[in-house]
Amino acid sequence: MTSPEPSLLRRMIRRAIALSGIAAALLLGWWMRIEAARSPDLLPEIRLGESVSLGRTQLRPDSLTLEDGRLVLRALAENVTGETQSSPFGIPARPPEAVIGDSVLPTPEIVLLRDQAPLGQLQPRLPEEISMIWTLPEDWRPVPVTLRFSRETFKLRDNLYGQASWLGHVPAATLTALPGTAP
Amino acid sequence: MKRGLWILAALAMTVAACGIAGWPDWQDWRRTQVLNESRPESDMAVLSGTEIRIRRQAVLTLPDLPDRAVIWLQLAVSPTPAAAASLGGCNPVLRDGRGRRFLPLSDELGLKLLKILGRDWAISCAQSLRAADGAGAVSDQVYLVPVDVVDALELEVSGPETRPDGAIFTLSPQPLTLP
Amino acid sequence: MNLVRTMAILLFAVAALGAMMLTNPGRDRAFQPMVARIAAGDQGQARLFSARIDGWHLEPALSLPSGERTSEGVFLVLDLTAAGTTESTTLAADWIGASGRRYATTARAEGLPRRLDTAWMQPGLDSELTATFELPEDEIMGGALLLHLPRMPALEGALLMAPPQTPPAIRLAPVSR
Repeated sequence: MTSPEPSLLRRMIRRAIALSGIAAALLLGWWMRIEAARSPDLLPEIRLGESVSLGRTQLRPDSLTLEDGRLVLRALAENVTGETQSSPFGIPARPPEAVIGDSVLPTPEIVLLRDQAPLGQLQPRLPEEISMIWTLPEDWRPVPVTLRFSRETFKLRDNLYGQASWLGHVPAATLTALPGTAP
Repeated sequence: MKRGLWILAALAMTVAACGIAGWPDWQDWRRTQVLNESRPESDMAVLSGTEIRIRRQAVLTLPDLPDRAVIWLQLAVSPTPAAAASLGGCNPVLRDGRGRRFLPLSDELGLKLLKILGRDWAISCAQSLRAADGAGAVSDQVYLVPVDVVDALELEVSGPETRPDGAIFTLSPQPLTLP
Repeated sequence: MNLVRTMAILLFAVAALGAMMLTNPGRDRAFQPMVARIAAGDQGQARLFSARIDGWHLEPALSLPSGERTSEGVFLVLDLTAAGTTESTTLAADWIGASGRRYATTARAEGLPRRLDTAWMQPGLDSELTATFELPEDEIMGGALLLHLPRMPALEGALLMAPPQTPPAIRLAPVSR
């Protein structure tokens, strides 16, 4: 069974079809890089009283104050998922970061305002007033503090198992404010 | 003839594929089961280089709860240095004649009972073996069982490294009265 | 004619593939425990445990050794009797609210005695337990209790238990336990 050699045109068309996928991938990658360069990653800058989505939790920072040498952020946290969250700031937990100049303060202590118990679970439809408390270094002088919020991304079908997952933290917003004194 | 051979070859391949895919699962399953039971005559058994001895077995009835009994076992384990890890993660499980399995109490109730019995802390089988370095250790375990199975209890000792081998002791706990 | 046939076969294949992809259950739906529905007041039986709801009540606040715990909603307390069947096991509970939201037993009840979260069921022995949930009051009527093994192992038994038909009473002053 021998077939006649196809004509040059046919062979060229076949090769062009075979190459078109690679060409498309190259072009797309190139265009995506151009797009990324055209829009620089600017994090939204929020102010006190504005809400920011952290993935499982919606957080509304209300006030930033100094109390006994500690930095206290009062906020309203609401679980926006349909089930109890035992780690409202994601897994691994990434609560807001407080940055002064170049130094990042250690992880804050997070308590409920209602009874000063540590924040454990966040129930759906029950927003909680919380305070995040950072211990300040000894030599601290009042300067503006930047808070960096990060958000977990939800994927309905992840690539590994095809199940709904919360994956990875990405920067969500920043807030810069001068801490006031406690009311 | 030729077609029959092809069918046979396909069947053989299917069986081989199932075997290859199922082999790790079969091995994992064997790690969870005690299939080779050794029944020592005395209170002492040797399980992959580790000597296991029942030092004490007692039954305690609670006046407030007449339907249940507390079983207190004191196990002495003395592994050879080579076998020190072989019982790691081991669970001494009580079995009754009806296939029910009782795990040692590891909650608040267990701690409370051990305090009542004068032992301050439950050292689980695994921890005592890891700390042992071949020197041996004693561990206390308490169980809560229905009072009607007290006479038919067996103790099964095995660890992930020893299974499918395990030692089965027949128990005859002595009644204990608290001071 | 031949081309039409080929196109028809191709179309059918694409349609069949699309239908399969659209109806293919995700892992979240495919790997589920086997849930049995239990009517109010009935004893539920799963492979590793059996359970019954004995009663329920509301508490506006929990009094714990470490202090009082209040809530934006209410604390729903269910009294249960549970037992193991063939093996010692622990249990976990969720309240499936009227809106379909899922409330786990509250960690704020830590320190109360006979908590379902920490107790072990022994085969053949009934244990009296309480499961405490923190939730908005309108999630209670029309909701149900889901009892399952911790971490919800797939293909394992779970019980979806209807609560008592009478609404829960409010217990204002928490009785000393």
